[in-house]
Amino acid sequence: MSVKNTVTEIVCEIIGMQADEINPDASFSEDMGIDSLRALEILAAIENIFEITIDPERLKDMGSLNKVIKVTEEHVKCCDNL
Amino acid sequence: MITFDKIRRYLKQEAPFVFIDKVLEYEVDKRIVALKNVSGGELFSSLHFPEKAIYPGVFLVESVAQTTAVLCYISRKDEESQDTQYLALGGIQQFQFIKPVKPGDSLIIQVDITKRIANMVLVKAVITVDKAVVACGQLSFGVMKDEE
Repeated sequence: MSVKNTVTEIVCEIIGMQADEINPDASFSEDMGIDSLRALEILAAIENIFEITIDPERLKDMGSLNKVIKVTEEHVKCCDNL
Repeated sequence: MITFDKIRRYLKQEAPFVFIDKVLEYEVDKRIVALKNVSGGELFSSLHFPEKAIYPGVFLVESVAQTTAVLCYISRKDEESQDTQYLALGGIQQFQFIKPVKPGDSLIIQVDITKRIANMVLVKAVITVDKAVVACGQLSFGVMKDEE
């Protein structure tokens, strides 16, 4: 499964929505009312599934589904290049 | 080790709503191991359930929450803020209740901080009785300020 699909699945499970209900560019906090704790849970789940480590400071760059996918892809590619 | 009397001072909750009896070990900002003896003298034993006393799963979750609160208290950097803040449970992820807990059991509650940023913390918790896992899962918390 692609990074995009896996991340989407993770996010959907944590926020309790279906993939087709999410605007991938919508802001978690401003548009969807998702708090920062849920964002931290998403980060932790992604780390577990992909076996990567993401600096919690990157949370500010993970404010929408597409941004989460982008940050995850960066880290997965980084690990693949090691 | 941290005694019950100190634990009571660290927590916002008051007995009988204190669900850990002592802290056996801890590493600041990392992990903590606490103990709670489950007693037939507690109110739950006659109510949950009248014919078979089983320690409620939600009390296990509360034990984890309070253990986490103690770890956060002893790990705090800002001593002045402690009186005006409390640790609020934010979420429970995949918490499993594996074996029933009953009066006479001694719970060993191990909490490890997996993520911490700003005023949020994610922990993984494992609760054992006689080294057998009875419950485990991940919880998230946020530090809240007392409203005036």
